[in-house]
Amino acid sequence: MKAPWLAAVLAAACASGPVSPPPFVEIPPAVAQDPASFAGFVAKNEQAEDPGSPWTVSGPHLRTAPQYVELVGDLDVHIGPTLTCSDYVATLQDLLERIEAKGFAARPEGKRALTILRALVGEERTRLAVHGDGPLAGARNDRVELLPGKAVDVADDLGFPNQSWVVTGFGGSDVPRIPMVAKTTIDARGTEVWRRFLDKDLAFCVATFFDFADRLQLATVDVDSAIVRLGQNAAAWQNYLQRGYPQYPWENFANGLLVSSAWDRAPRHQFVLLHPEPGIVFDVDRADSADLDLALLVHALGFLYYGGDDRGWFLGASATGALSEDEGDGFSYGLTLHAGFTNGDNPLPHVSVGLLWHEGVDDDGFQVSIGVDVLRLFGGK
Amino acid sequence: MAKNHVLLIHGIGQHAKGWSARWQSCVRENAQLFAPYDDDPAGFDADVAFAEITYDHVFEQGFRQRWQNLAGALDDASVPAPVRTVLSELSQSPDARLPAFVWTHSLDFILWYSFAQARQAVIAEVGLQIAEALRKAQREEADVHILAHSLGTSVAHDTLLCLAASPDTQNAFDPKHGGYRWASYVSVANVSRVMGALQSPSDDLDADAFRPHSSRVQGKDLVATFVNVRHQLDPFTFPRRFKPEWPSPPYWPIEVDRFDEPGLIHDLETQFDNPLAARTCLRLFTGRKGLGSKAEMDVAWRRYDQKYGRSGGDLFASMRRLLEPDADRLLGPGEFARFIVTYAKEMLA
Repeated sequence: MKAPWLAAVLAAACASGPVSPPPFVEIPPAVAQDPASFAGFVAKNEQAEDPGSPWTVSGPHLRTAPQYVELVGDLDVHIGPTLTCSDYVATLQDLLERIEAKGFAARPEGKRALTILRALVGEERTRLAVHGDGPLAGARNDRVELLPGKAVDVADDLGFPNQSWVVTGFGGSDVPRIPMVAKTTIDARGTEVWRRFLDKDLAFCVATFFDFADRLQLATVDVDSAIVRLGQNAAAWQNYLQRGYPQYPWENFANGLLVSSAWDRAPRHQFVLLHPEPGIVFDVDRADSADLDLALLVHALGFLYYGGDDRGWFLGASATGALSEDEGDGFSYGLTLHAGFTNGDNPLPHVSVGLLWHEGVDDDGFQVSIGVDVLRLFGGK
Repeated sequence: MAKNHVLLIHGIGQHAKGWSARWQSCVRENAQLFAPYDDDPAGFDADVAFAEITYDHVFEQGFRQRWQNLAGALDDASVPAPVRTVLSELSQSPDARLPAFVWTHSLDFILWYSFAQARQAVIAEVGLQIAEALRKAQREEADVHILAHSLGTSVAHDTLLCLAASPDTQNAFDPKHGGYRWASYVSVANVSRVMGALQSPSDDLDADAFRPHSSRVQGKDLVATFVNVRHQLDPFTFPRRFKPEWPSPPYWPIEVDRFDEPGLIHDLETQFDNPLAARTCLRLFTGRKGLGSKAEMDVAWRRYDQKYGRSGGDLFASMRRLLEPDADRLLGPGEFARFIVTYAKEMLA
């Protein structure tokens, strides 16, 4: 069922006349049979728009093809992180023998392909021999890296500027590549012509070999360990930035410049800089009167330390000035201690407790200031 | 049947869960121009799965919202007038002068570019999400592709480098250590050069390693294939344009020139709808490397020409002039701010 908009576009396209196929394009000899790059493989002289499976499909499309299933379906190997080096090499050897049994050696291109596959399996066996029955995951730096195809740029006189042919295929290490298709673009609107290498049955076997080897290798990539570490790291950053002692823009900027950190190392410290905060103050001499005044606290300069791998708590102090709503109290100044938990599941609010000296109109003396992260107290973050 | 996975990384602005619906619909619509999806639209979803990577909550909850809460808590406090003005802007109160888009969009650029901890925290968050997406794909034996737009291109670039460099994660993310090589990386409206790190966000790499033209985020290194789609009139790609001199393949640069509304030039949809861009990406995402016959491309071009009727012109000339005589120079914060304001003025005009 086509979408309505597509039906309309297609109708308009049909109304404007039939679409002609791309013109036949000669493939330059350097692409079709470059012995240096492709070990003597020769491109077929049959032009196609899309060669199709197996030449131009990968992954799931290839793996559901009957030829693929027939070749690897009953291989005795567990694809997963515990795969050992010896099982890996044995599986490749088994797969190679199944391909050899198909009789490709009677054809020149089959003979060439088998030579390359044998060389690859042999190289893997040599490189991984030292690891024996050890896990393939632990032999990362020794195994052969499978490589995609190779591009060949060829100047020609077809009239389209900078024309080049792109040849894709398979390979690994230093052995020659096995080409699958060559492609060139012949106009600015992306019209392409293709050439196939290899007959279909051989192409399926080659594509299957490389795809299966790739599956075996990728299954051993240890993503789980990385996720554990990344999860702890992200939590530390969240605790510091989203649930730590809050910062004004100028504090965020200054801490970015002054405090050491990296993407995988959340800061251990935080400077407090010109940080206004609402709070309450009460006079120490009149502590029994419960006479509390609202005040504007300004933490001029302070330093906090964050503890725990998850930056789960902080403790620090700052030099503080305060103006209370009781103008008679005058300006107060002193030291404030800051403390709090930053874990998301800890409901305790952050607290700032200060001991300030005030020089008022009527009297001087010590005051205690208290600042509370009210938002956190009532369930915010 | 297993699907290929495509990780979507957004640009500036606020992105709630499900933000990528428009992108996905754009990709699907383009897929329906080509066989086999023209007769089987559902077939595309059988071949490709999308995963959203989201990082704007780091800016929102770590900065924007915290500033707003801090300033809001001081609403009733008696503070000097200049301080009151600052607090009023930070709390985004009704009498604030800064337009909302400064907070929701421009601030993302500023935080990423100028606030070292914001960049590091975003990388930490995106790194985790990418790793989780890779694990899911690995269990399904799927290839993983990355599609990033605008600021997301800079985020993706730095994150892939950091993941490959850290001793804790390189075994999973550096192909040279046996880690995963991303099947493809598609950047649309790439701003990774203009948004490049002023200081390295990583203990394991120096700042030079984050230069996009020479970094390891290249074809056949951290990614197998690199596609860069750029609109010639996209003003965000005027300064320090991303234009590496890499061999093709594995690097595929695609220039787009048509548009409908100037304000939509920067959008992913405007650029992805170009048939060359769409076909290149769909081939990668679907694993059908021969997708898009000449007949289908002709239809796609007609649709494109109908949908986007304009091209060329002198759009955003005032922004180009701001960059003279050398658009490749590193912009200072003031110059960058002026550039953004000029864009806003052009849009309002």
